[in-house]
Amino acid sequence: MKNIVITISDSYLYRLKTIAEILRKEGLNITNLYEFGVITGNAEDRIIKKLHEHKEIVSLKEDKYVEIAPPGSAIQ
Amino acid sequence: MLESKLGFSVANTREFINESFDENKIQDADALIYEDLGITLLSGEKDQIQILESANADFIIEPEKVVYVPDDVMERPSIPSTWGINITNVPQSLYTGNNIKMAVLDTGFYINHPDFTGRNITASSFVPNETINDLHGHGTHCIGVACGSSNLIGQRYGVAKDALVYVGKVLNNQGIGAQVWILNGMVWAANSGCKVVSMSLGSKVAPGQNYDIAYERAAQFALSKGAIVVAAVGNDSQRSINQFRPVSSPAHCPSILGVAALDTNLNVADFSNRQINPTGRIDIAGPGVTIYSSWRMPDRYKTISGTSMATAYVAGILALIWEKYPTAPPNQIINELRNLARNLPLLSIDDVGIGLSIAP
Repeated sequence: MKNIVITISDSYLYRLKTIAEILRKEGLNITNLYEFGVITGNAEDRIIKKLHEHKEIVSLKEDKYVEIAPPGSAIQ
Repeated sequence: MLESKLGFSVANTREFINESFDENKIQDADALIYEDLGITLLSGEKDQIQILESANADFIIEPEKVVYVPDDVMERPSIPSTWGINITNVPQSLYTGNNIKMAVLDTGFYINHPDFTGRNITASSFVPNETINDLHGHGTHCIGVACGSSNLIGQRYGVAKDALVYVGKVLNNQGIGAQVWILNGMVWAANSGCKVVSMSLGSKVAPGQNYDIAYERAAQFALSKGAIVVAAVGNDSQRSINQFRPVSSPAHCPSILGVAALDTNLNVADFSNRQINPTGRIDIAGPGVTIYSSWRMPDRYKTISGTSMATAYVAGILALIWEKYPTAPPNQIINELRNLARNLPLLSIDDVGIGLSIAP
């Protein structure tokens, strides 16, 4: 399972909930649905590959962790 | 040989055995012999040097080496540790961020920090299984700069000292955060009516990489709710060895203000990233080297450097501008932030944007 962040194209924002439902039926476990067209969730690699095919999706990326320097570092 | 064959006027350090060495007394000499060292310092014409070189005598001739003091001057200890507050004109400002909601999305906040006793603090953790309590320190430091007040002896270190503090914990106590935690924090801050969302966090971006569209959407959403998002441009560069890295994510988003760091001499901090990708812009700069602020207990205070601290300064200054123009739309506040900034004409817009952020 991978955590992913999906962004829906502006042109399809009006169908956001419908698109999310389609993705859920295809195997995406949705964790957040943001009104600005971003859906987060997790899925198996084979499902993620299939999700990529939707024309409504403008971006599908694995959740990217940010990391700051440890507490002892002089530059943070 | 020096005198007879080459016509040099020669001085010898032995002449100064009974008196201290005086450069004025040898100013007419072409050569000065340091007998004890076996060295002669001389100044001659090219042909005279050639005669010496061809003499096959028992000596070596080398050009005199000139020694310089290194450019990299050590920090002056006389600089007050809260230099950033003074250089941004915060103490003179009529504004303190009174009643402005300011969100700091970071490692949380050390809940019982004594400098914040009596402050209005709203907090929410978006990190699974961790409370908002900051066991890292970074969040407490950034909150101190953006909306803290003064230390034990009344020395001011915070900008928007009367702001309403919104603590969003989006990085865990190890300083790591998932994008979904950060998105949740941004939405929470915007929906809570925060006017500023400060994000001293980021991940590296490669040259040529486009901005992250999910973060951009979240920032646009925040703006639509009246919140201005600021983020650190990152500390991955090493300018002293000509190593420049692009603005980090999410600061590289067009709808997020990217903040660079300046040192005490108002030069770009060695580590501060640069605009390399077309959309990864540097908007403005803030004090970001040797910045004193609150830290988790028992340390209470710490002095550190980074674009994180510079970002917190700009966030605090935005809260002061919001207090001055409470009904203005975000783009007008951003324009005012730019108008107030001090131009740094010797530095590039790709490094410091419009310049040093100044309080209204």
